[in-house]
This record gives sequence, structure tokens and C-alpha cells, in this order.
Amino acid sequence: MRSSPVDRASSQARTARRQGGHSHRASSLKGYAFIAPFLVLFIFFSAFPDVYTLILSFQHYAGYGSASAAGLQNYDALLHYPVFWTELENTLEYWVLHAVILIPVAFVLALVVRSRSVRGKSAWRAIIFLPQVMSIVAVSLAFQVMFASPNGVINHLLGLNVAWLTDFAITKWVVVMLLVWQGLGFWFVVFLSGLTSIDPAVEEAAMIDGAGAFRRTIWIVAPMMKNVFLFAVVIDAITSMSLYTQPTVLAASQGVLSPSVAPLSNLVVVNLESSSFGQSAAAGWLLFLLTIVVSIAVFGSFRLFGRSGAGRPKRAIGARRAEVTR
Amino acid sequence: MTAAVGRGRAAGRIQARALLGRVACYTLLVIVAVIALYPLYLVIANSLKSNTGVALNPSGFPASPTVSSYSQLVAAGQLRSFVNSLIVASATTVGAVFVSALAGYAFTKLRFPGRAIIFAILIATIMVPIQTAIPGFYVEFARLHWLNTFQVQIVPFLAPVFGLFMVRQYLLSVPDEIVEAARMDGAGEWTIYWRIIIPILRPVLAALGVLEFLMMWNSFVWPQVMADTSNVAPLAVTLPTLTDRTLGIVPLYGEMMAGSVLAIVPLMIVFLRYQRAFVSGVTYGNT
Repeated sequence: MRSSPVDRASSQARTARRQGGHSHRASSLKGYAFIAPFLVLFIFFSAFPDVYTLILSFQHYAGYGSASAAGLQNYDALLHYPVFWTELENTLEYWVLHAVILIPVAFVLALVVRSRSVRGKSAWRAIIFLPQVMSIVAVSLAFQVMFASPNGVINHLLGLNVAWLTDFAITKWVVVMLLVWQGLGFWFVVFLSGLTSIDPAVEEAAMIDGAGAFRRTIWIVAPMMKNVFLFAVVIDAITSMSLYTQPTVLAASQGVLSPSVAPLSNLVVVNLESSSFGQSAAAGWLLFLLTIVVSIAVFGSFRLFGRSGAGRPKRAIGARRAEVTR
Repeated sequence: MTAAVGRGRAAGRIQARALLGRVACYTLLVIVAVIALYPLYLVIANSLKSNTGVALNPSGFPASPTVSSYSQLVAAGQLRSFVNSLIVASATTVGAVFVSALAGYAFTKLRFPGRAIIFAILIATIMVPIQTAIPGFYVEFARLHWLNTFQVQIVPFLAPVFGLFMVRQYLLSVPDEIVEAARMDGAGEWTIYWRIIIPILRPVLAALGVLEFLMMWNSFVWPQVMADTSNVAPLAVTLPTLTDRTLGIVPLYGEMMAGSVLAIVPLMIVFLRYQRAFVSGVTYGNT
């Protein structure tokens, strides 16, 4: 990212090397000593299981006896398994449906709290952020009480009898609501801190120029927040791919989650519990592949979108600035 | 004169629009605040009802507040799970902050062959979801006899790559001269780390600690798979299983809500105490 510290580091390393081997070797040893705890933990509890899971995914292994080679059979079986496609679709649905609501609403809230006409900013910020610091399981259980049928809060208050959590087409939307409710505070705070880093002079210039609040937001503020949007969409997509807790706590009965509402990560757990470790491992690696594909797709579409869309506002700002200085 | 009247009218229109905008802003904020706070109210209100009380009156304030759900929660052994959650989250937080700070310092201020490549490999793994390696982990821990222990919940999370990344990003903006000067004065690396680097790192370590605590407190799939026996399982795993066995699968909502209060309180305390660290932790990747 920043090249200067790296350059400095390498030039210093060069001088150290010239100054003689002994002190250099001693300082290297110190470096290794400092990273040793991290590295050892990483190797045993991250690198090894990652690689071992990859190996397992090409084997049949039932937890006892010895594993036998399976080639691509585990992957092949999963891809021919209708549940895989249902759960993949669920995962993508949960992601898209909650993100298209969550990210714009979080941005609008950040704009509102930042605007000059709102007082008590830190109190609003704390309240909107609060869902983020409520235990996810506690919140999922609270949503269960809200959407239970027949005696849930929503049915009770509205005099309805909707099977929110057992009619799975509806349950999906309850999960989406939970994800929006829970994630809002996080992205709101991210957008708010992004907005505060925008130089107010830019907006003032546009205001003098007669641009209304709406046009200023669309053509000046939003394009300047492009990187924050990219960050939000990518991170939200990555975390959405490994979604598990919310649908499980909300909709599982007796510890079993119906495939109609289960996300893809459920396949890892289900196969593990039935001791088909190879299949579980293959599901885990497919999940990782999905995460990579989706984040590349999001990055790519941002670049495409950015090239066609962001040129105009930039020019517009430039023109407005030129006018103001004149 | 007509011009002045026109100007006055225009100013009035602008004022009216500003007022309208302000009303719209506050309306939106109040709606969002109610939606944000309602589940919290619901958890607290329903925790003061009996299990049947929740079914009869799920939305209202408890007619006759009772702590029966809390005493049942204790009888169901959920205090043990609460303590388990506290042990796991606190131990991991302290350990992870220490280990990340140590490595973050070395990766920024000490020089050794392979530094850049090791760091790159670590960062490359940041996108691997926790579920991906669960099968490998499971077999590894079964052989180590670590399943259903505290260490299976703590040790694998002591080296968080995002923590290392946060510490390193922060230290990059700290001039090397501070370290060089201390070294000239004859301070050893450990003294430099402990006396100089740790105090400088305090804000980022607070942010990291708060994030780690939140993540560990919320961890669900991991303990569900690796440690779900009641002597070590955290609250997150045991709470959803509170069902009435005699009536089949009827969830005991009163008890669940009382347990949810237990699950929320520590996070609230951490949040209120370290609000600034929370927010800076959240916005870290962004700046």
C-alpha cells in the first residue's frame, strides 16, 4: 500500500547486512521469537486444518478405520444432490435480499445523523449501533418470540395467524429482516465515519452553486464514498456466504434445520454429524470457493459500474469547483 | 419593496422546507430507534413472565412480574453455561490481544528474512470461512482428545489474522525512530515491546479486544460442533435447546428470554464501558 516504509525497511535491512552478520542474525532471531507464538498457533490451528480438510475432501472417511481415496466423488455427489442447489440458492437469496435493503438504509441513516438539522448525534449513533452488541443467539430467540405462531408478538399485535416460522417461503423473509435489523448499526457506523472524512468545503462549494441536498448526495457525496461502498458490499458478501447462526436458531426444530431455509454452511455441519467427513470437507471447500467467486464478482461489477458511472460526477465536481473559484 | 416581499416569501419557503426536512429526519430516526430497541424491550419484558405467561401475552408488559423464569433457568443449569461463555470469551480476548500485538510488532519493526512472504501468506487466509476447515479441525481435535473441552474453544482463536493486521496497520504510522532511539539507549527488544510499543498500541488493542470478545461471545457453529456438552458449552449453544421435553418440542420462551438477558448483559457492559473502542474497531478496515 504505502511504499515508503517498505523501501525504508529494505534499505535498512541492506545496511544491517553490510554492517556484519552477527547483529543481523541476532535481530532475526528476535523477530522469529516474537512471531513464534502467532505462527505456531496459525500452523496448527489454521494452516494444518485448512490443508487437511482439502485432503479429506478427496477421501472417504467415516471417523474410524482408515480413509480411502475418493477422487472427486465427494464433490460429484454434492453437486448432484438437490439439497446443495437449494441451500446455495438460499445463501445467495439471504445475501442479496438483505444487502439491497441494508446498505442503502444504513447509508441514508448515516446521512441523516450527519445532517446539520439533527442534534444529539452521539446518542442516535449509540442507539442505532446497539443491535450490533446484542448477542446474536439472544436476538434470534427474540425474533422467534416475535414471529412465533400462533402466539407470537406479531400475530398477537396484528390479530393475524401467519405461520412465520413454519411456512418456509415466509421464514426466509424473517431471516432477511433479522439480518437487516442486526447489521444496520454496523454499516451505519462505517458510513458515518466515511462521511465525516469528506471535506465539507466540497459540499459547500456545490451548495453555493445552488445544488439541492438530494443532488449533492447523489452526485457528490455518494461518488466520494465509492470505496466505503465497495468495502461494505464486499465484506457483507463474504460474511453472508458463511451465514449459519441466524437461520439455525430461528427456524431449526429439535436441532434440525429444514433444507428449504438452510444456508450452504449447513451442509458442512450435517455431513459432519453423520460422520461423512469427506463429504463435509468437500462442502467446506465449496463454501470457500463460493466466497472467492462472489467477492471477485462484486469487485468486478464495482469496477465496471465505477468506470461507466463515476466519470460524470467527478467532472461535475471539477466544473463546479472551477466555477466557484472563478 | 416588492422585491423585499419576494425575498421574504422565498426565505419563508426555505425555512418551511428546512423545518419539513428536520421533521422528516427526526421521524425516521425515532422509527429506527423504536425498531432497534424493541427486541431488547421484548427480551427484558418477557424474561419477567412465566413460560405460559409469554405464550398468553407475548407483546405486553408483564401483568404480574415474576422471576420464576430466572429461577428455572438456574435450575436448568444455565448459570454454568454463562460462566463457560465468560471463561472462553475472556481468556481468548486476553490471549489473542497479547499474541497479535507481539507478532504485529515483529512484522512492523523487526527485520528478519521471510517477513514479507510470511505476512502475505497469513493475510491470504483471511477469507477462509470458519466452516470450511471444521471437518479437518474435528478430526484433528478428536485425535488430540480436545473435543468438549475449554481449550478447543480458546486455543484455535488465539492467533487472529485480522488482529495482526490491525496492529500492523497501526504501527506502520508509528515512526521507526522511536524504536531506534530506545535501541540506542540499550533497551532490549522485550523492554521496547513492553514499555514503549504496548502503551502506544493501547487504542488499537482496546478495539481489537472488544471485537474479539464480541466475536467469541457470539460464536455458535464452533461450540455447537466441538463443545456442546453442558460442562463446557457456552450460553449460545445451550439457550436454544431449552425446550419442554414432556410436551415434545415446545420452546420454553420465558426461560429463553431470561437466558437472553444473561447473554446480553456482558456485551452491554463492555459496550457502554468501551463505546469508543467499539466504534473504532468496527470502522477499522475502512480507514
